[in-house]
Amino acid sequence: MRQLRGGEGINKVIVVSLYELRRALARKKVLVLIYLSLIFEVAVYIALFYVKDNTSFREILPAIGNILWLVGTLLPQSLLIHFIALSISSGSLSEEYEQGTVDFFLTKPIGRAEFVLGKYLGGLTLVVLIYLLMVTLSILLSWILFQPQGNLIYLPQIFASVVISALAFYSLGFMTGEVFRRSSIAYIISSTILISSLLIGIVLNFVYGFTKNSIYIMIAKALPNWGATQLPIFIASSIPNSSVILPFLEVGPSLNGTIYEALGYVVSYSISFTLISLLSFLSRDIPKRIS
Amino acid sequence: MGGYALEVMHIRKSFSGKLILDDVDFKVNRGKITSFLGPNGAGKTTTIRIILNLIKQDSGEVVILGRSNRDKEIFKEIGYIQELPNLPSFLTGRQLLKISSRMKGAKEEEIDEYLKIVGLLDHGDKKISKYSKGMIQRLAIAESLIGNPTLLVMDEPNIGTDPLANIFFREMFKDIVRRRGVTIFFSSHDLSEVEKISEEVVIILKGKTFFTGNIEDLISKFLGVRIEVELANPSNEIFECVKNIGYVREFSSQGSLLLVGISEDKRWELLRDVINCGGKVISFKRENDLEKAYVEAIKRGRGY
Repeated sequence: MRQLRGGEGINKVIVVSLYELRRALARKKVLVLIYLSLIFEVAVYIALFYVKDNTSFREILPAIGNILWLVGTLLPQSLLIHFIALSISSGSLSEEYEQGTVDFFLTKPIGRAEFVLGKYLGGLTLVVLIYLLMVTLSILLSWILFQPQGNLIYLPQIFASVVISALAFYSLGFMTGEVFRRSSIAYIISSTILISSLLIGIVLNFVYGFTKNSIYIMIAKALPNWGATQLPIFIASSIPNSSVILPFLEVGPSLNGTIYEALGYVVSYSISFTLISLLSFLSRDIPKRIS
Repeated sequence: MGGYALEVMHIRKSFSGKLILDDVDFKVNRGKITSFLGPNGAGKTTTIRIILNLIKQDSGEVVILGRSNRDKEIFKEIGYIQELPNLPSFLTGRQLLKISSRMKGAKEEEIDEYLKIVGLLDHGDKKISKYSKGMIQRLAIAESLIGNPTLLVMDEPNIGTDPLANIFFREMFKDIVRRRGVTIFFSSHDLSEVEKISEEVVIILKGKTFFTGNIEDLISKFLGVRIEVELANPSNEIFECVKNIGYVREFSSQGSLLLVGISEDKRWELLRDVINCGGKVISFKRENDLEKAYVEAIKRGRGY
C-alpha cells in the first residue's frame, strides 16, 4: 500500500513537472530568451569563423581548433544560463498565484511538497533542455565551421557542472517567486542579485589589489555568482590547451579557488533557497488570485 | 449513506491580527444541496478555502466524509468549482481534464463523456485562452465531475451565463444528487437560484454561523408563517372578517390576494375560517420568500 502511494506520488510529481514544462514554454519571456540564446550561440561561431584568417587567431588555432566547442558550451554559463534559469523559476510559483491556477492543483489529491517538487523539477528540466540545445549547437557549429572536435570526453562533466551551477540562481528565482508571489518582483530581485553580486565581486577584487586583505576575496567568493560561474571553468581547466580559451569566457573576476569551494557555495545556496521556498509554501496560506 | 458529508467545527481565523472567522460551526448532510449564504465580507470564501485546506485555520477542525481535510487522499472525493474559474489558459480543455484525471486516478477514457455532458466535445482541443466565459465555466464543471466526486464544493458558481445553461446545469446537479447521492455545498448571492436548487442553508454573519437548517425553517424563523390566499370574490366584508379572526397576527391585502400571518398550527383552521367568512378560495399557499427571510435574518443578525 505504501509502495502504491509512493508510485502514485511519483506519478503526480511527473504530471506537475510536465505541466510546468509546458507552462514555461508558453511564456513569451522564456521563449524570447531561448531564441536570443540560440542566436547568440550562432553569432559567436560566425564571428569566430570570420576571424579565422586573422594572423594572430591562425597562430593559436592549431592548439584550440578541436576544443572550440568549449566556447559555446561555457560562454552561456557566465551569465546567460543563469538569466534563463531565474526567468523560468521566478514565474514558476508566482504566476500560479497571479493567475489563480494554484487552486486547481491544490484541490486535488496532491501534497504541497509533491506540487513544489514537480514545479521545481519541471522548470529545471526546461533549463537542462535549453542548455542541451546550446551545447549541441556549439559542437555542430565548431565541427562544421572549423574542424572535427576532440576532448569531448570532458563534455558530460562540464555539462553536469553547468547544470549544477545553474541551480543556485534557479533556486533563487524559485524562492523569490514563492516569497514575494509576484513574478515581476521576483524576476527583478533575483536578476539584480545576479548582476550586483557580479559587480560587487569585481569591486572587491579591485579593493583587494590595493589592500591585499584576503577578507575581500573571501567575501567575493561567498557571493552567489562566484561558485556558480567558476565551477564549470575549474572543471574545464583540466582540458589540454583550454587555458588559451578560458580567460575570454569569464565575465567576473578570476579568483583563485578549488572545485570543492565552488561546489560548496553552489550547493549551499541551492539548498538554502530551495528549503526556504519549500517551508514558505508548506506553511503559508494560498490566497485567492492575486492580480 | 447517513451522516455528514462535511463538518466544520469551531473554526477561527485571523489575518494580520484581524479576526475574520470566529467560531464558524456547521454540518452538511450527505446527499443534499446546501447553500452557503452571507453578506459580502462575512467570510464565505475564507471558510471554503479552509474547507479545501488552501488556508489553515487558527483553531477548529474540518472533517470531510469522516476524514480530516488535511488527508490529501480525501480530495479524490471532492470536486471544486471556483468563482470565475482560473484555469491554465495555455492548455486545451482536453489536456486540463487529462491532468485532473491523472491527479485523481480517474479513467482518462471518460474525458470525452464529461466534455459531452457540458457541451464542449467539439471544443476539447481548443486552448482555454480561446474559450468564452461561459465555456470556461462549463469546463470547470466538467473538471469538477472527474472521478465521480462524493462532495462538490462551489464558490459562487454563476452557472453558465445564459438562462438556458442555468436551467441545464441546475437540473444536472439535482440529477447527480438524486441518482448518485452526491452532496453539493455552494456559496451564492443569487437567492432565486438558491431557492430553486437547495434544500438546506447555512448563513454566516460577521464571521460566525448565524443559521443552519432548511429553507422552510429559515422562513418560519424570520418571517413567521404567512399564508397567501387568492380569492375569486374579494370584498371588504370578507377582508374585515378574516382580519378579525382571533389568531391572525398580521393582515394585508392587495386586489384579490390576502397575506395572513398566523402560527404554524393554525394553517388549516385559517382555510376553514376564510371559507366561513364567505371567501371563494382559488389558491391557498404558504408564502415562500427566501429573499425576504434572508434580508430579515441579516437585519436581525446585525441588530437593526
